[in-house]
Amino acid sequence: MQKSALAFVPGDSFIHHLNPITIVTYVLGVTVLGIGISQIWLLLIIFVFNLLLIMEARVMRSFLYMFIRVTLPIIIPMFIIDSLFYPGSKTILYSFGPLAIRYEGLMFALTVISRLLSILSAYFLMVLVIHPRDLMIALGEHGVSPKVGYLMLATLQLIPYIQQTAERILDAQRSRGLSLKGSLVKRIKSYLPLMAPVVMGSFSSLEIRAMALEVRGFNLPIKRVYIREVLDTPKDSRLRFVIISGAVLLLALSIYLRVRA
Amino acid sequence: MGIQIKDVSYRYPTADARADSTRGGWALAHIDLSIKDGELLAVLGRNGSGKSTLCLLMNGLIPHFFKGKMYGEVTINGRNTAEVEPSDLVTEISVVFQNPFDQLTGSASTVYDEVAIGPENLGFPREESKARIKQALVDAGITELVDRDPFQLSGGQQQRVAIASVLAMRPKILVLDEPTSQLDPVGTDEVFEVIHRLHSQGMTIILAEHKVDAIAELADRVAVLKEGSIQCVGSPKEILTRPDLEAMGILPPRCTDLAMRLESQGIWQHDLPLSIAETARGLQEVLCR
Amino acid sequence: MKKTFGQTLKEDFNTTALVMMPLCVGINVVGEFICQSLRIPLWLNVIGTIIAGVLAGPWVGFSTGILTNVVLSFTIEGPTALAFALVNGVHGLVAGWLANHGMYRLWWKAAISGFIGELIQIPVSAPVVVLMFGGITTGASSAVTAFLMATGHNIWTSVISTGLFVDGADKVLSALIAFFIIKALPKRTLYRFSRAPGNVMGEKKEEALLPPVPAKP
Repeated sequence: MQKSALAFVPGDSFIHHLNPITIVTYVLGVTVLGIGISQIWLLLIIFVFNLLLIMEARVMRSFLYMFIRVTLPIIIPMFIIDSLFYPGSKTILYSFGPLAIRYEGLMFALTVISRLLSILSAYFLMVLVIHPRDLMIALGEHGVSPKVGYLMLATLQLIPYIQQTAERILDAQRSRGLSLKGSLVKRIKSYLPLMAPVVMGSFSSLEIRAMALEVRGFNLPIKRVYIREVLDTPKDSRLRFVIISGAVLLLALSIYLRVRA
Repeated sequence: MGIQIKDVSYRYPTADARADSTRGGWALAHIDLSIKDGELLAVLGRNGSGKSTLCLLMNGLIPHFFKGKMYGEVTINGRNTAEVEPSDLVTEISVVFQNPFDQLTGSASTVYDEVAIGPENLGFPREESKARIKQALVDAGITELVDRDPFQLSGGQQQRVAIASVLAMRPKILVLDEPTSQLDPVGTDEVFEVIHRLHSQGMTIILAEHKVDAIAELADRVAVLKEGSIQCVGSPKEILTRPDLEAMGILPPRCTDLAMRLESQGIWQHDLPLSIAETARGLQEVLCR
Repeated sequence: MKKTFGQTLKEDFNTTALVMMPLCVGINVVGEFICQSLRIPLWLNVIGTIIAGVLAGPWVGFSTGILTNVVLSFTIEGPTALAFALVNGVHGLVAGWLANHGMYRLWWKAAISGFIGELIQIPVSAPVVVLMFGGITTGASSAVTAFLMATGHNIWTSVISTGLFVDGADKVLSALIAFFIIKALPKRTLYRFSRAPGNVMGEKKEEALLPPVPAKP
């Protein structure tokens, strides 16, 4: 089912070989900058930089796919609504009929949009380049409980499976005359009979699954050693340092420029 | 060493006393059992007789996981299950359950990764873990399935993955609670073959099952449970040829049953057989008389 | 003997709860899927979170909500889900807390709990809406519109639905559905969780007098 497909695109680029935590550090840094910086041009520079990274990782195609599906539906209406209706806007730039595009609203919209662009592009880069399993292993090596890793991975695997189950039940009920038309109340009444089998089936396996986990040493206090190696090199540590210092400097620059104005 | 179960009685926390007046809701009552190293003990009994509960006693899931009330003592290789956590026993004893699918952790996308989880949790160095995984896959007969998605396998295959997953922990004792009840005949055969192989390699095995024909050939000893109490324990020959088998809720192996009926007609004169081969020989003698 | 917070957390997050959490995320996803398939103009995507909160306590509920959005954010469809992880988490937190006070033992109390959850999440979602979606204007409508669009509905559904009424109805219905699902779970399953006996069945943890063990045969 396409809906739950992982965004991950395997690859051999410089970025792909970085430790996942380094990439996460970058995204966090960009998020802080995206929130803290108020200059549109600075935000857009970050956005362009992210685009360059995306090109380096050769995931531009997938990025554009996600971008068009996810970001545009947010940005375009916001642009329209805010430039037309933002409260307190006075300066009219262009009017047509009863509506008018006002300066303050426009600037507000552009600021928010640049924020979104800078943060989301970093974020998309992350999910395109990191496989959750590697992220979990990397976190595990830095002290995060392996149970968190279990939760993430088990959930990721489970969603397509339970989705299929739901589709099957839906089809079965449809062939028994479940109507997708009819009054709202009627459809709401069909909700529980559709959900119930999915839920009950899943809950019945809980006990055994929990026991099976126990038996495999799930609760052992020992430090896990994963077969799959996720490397954390000195290069990664240096990069993280560069990222954090860079973010601090940029933030300081932005604040300085704002205070100066 | 082995397993010692001394006068164990157990009651689940959800037991309803009114529902079962004869037993007062006790799933197990006064169980005494001793299992030697390297032995394959089969546990027979009707559904609800306490087979599963007995299986869960052995690795400490009862009482730690299920709570409830337990009297008596269970010792695994010298360790009292009530005094240690189930986690402490994972390298001593492991359990395989009925439903193959429910035993998949769901956090592995290949069979290899699934089997790797146990050794990874035990914190072995990578080379050690890899060796264990490889051995477990061989013992369970699933080396050709390494790269497959465990969710896509057949029941018999999944069950063998479950077995491989616990074998990678290298337990000394393996408990299997009706491992073939949800499998088709092919899957059933596959699993029994693995059990036989493990037993011949010296593993102590406790097998709760309904399929008496297989038990007759696999088991060293057989114990019969009825309504939470052990009715009798002995060699397969002693137990499976008893006339009161059905009263205990168990059907004899088909060939034994055949011989029993011939015996009641005065035709069969020998010891009751357990295997087809014995039956054939017995029939031969009868017919040649 | 009063338990420490750490001990309570450990009991809440027992192995069964950890196995349940991915399941409840699945219920959230399927809940939304069935809702859309039936063309009901709601979301119904926090049912699993509520169930987790009621059965295993507020922190498990909270974590389930967060887990849902974090995992969804790694898929192609839902990177913006991450922004609303806290909102989902809050529903679990509130449901769990209210359940600890008995609010999920009767259906109408559950309905009220759902609405309370909706009220409490307003201050949590508002900053996100402001930051990411261009602000709260005088009419709640544009903020809500943007919010609705971000959660995946097309512009027409968003424009037509109106804020608190729809959201409130959605959460009340979600709480009710969660209530009935929990009601249908077998007792044996409920006992696996730390809070379920108290929150669902109103049973106190007292040792009832046990009948004697039957004699050896």
